[in-house]
Amino acid sequence: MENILEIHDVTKKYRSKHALRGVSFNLSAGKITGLLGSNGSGKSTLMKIIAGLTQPTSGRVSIIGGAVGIDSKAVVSFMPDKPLTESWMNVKDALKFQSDFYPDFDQTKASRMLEFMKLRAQDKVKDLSKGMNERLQLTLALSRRASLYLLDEPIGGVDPVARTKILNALVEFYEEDSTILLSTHLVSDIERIFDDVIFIKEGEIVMHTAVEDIRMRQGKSIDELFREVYAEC
Amino acid sequence: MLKLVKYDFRRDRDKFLAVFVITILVQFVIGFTVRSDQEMFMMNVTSYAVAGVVLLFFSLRTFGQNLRLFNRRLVPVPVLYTVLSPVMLFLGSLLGLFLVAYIHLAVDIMMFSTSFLPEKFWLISAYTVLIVFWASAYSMLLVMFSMTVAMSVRVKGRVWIGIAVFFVIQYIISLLESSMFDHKNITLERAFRFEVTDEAAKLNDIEISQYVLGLLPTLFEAVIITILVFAIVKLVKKRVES
Amino acid sequence: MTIEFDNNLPIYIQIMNYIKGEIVTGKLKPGDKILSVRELANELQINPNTVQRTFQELEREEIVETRRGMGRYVTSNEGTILTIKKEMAKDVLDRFIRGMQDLGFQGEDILAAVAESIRNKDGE
Repeated sequence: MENILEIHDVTKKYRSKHALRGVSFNLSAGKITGLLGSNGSGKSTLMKIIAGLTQPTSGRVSIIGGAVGIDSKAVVSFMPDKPLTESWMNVKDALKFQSDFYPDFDQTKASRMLEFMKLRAQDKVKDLSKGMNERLQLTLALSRRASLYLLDEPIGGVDPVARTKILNALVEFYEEDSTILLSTHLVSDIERIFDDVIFIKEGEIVMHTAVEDIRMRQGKSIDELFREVYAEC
Repeated sequence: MLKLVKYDFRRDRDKFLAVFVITILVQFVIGFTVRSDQEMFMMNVTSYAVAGVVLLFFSLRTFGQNLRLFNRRLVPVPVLYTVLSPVMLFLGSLLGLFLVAYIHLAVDIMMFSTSFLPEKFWLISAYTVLIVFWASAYSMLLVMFSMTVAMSVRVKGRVWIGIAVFFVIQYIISLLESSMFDHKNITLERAFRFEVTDEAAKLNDIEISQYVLGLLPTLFEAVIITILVFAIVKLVKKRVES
Repeated sequence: MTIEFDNNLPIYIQIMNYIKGEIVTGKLKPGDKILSVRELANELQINPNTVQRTFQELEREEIVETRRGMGRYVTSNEGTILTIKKEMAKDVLDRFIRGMQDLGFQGEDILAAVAESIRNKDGE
């Protein structure tokens, strides 16, 4: 089976600083993979490269066998750390934007998610609280039937109640064959959702394993392992 | 691409509408306060010109935002569309402005008479409209190019670099055109000459033939415009930075 | 249904044990239909793939069977259920005996201690 995502030796340099160094990994379809790392470890940069917002200094990314470009943008749903909505929009406008430009947008799923998240069509984006806004961003990202979902810190900076709601939504609206790459530094809340985890530290991949393997073989939780790996950070 | 233009417009819909409303109000004010016909005409034209510049400003701002905002950068459309949509928005709003101006004119004609209009006014003004469109598109693209250059460089004084680029390129193109063509025919210059001088006195005597668009200069300018668009697209693609 | 998950142990095993527990204690009767992958995942808030794995293991052990187009059901085989009961009891016993041995108890003493404990419990 073809890999949904293949990253070959990707490096990203800003002036003299390396955000990513020789990163390589593959993601096969139908798994939820956690991209774990402390702040500044390169998670966001990597996601932006996959989403097509920036280009690697060297290396190759292929999405369903093709290079990053217009075609890949049409099948990749990215939820960045900054909102995907403009201040003049209300919830209905935000959804319409998605449906206007992405053929894989699923209106029915969007309506269901809005109801689940308790968002109303006429709510103005600039009046939403941080938690409600995160819910909206997640709705926008998951309402598309994309081949690859990239979620950058979906539960960061949000109160525990909203966090739980967002995790609920993730599980509730997850399609069995979708591939999700989710980055976070808050591990314990979310670790039971992952199939695999990738640890990234200072721009390099440190580990890429199945979550249950770690629990089985090392008797540790991912959170514990995370603390060990990033102890000196 | 129309969808892109739609969203460009909606982002600043209130501002665009405000420009139109204010312009109309200003025309009323001018109509009731200024007595002399010549003065009134000048003020009318000037206020429309100002409105045009404001529309240009908003359209340029939208261009900048399209390059910055994530939701626009993620949309699976060719970069060319992203670059052209603010231009379409600007030209579209200019069209609207011209319509308002013509309606204004129609109202004036109904209220007074056509006596204050010079001969062949309609033909000449039609050409003027075309030329202004042409010059506006050119100006906008020139500014967009300078903006894109400024945004591509990661140096401290990049705004100044952008401004410098604008003037330098503007100057170079003027030089080229002056050396290649006769001043009377340079399309771009004619657009602005209309804005500045008081034509009412001159237009009566001038032959239409002189106002036909010169082919060569226009072709040259078309090439420049194409190059500008191409360069902007190239820079945006390369730039794809956060 | 709430399960307190321990993130240090494979979750799919924890779910399996929970379901086995429900079956053995009779809360899930032979032939009962169990929740679908989706329902269970939503309820427990875990990855559906993990639930899928759980069910696959349960099917392999023949504790659960899939009826095409109808869902998953607890086995009606009383023998299998009895086996699970014994296996789970064995785990508890092994741990208990080891615990008692760590405290210094030996064979006969352990039996006596158990008998005493049960008598006390019945008396309560």
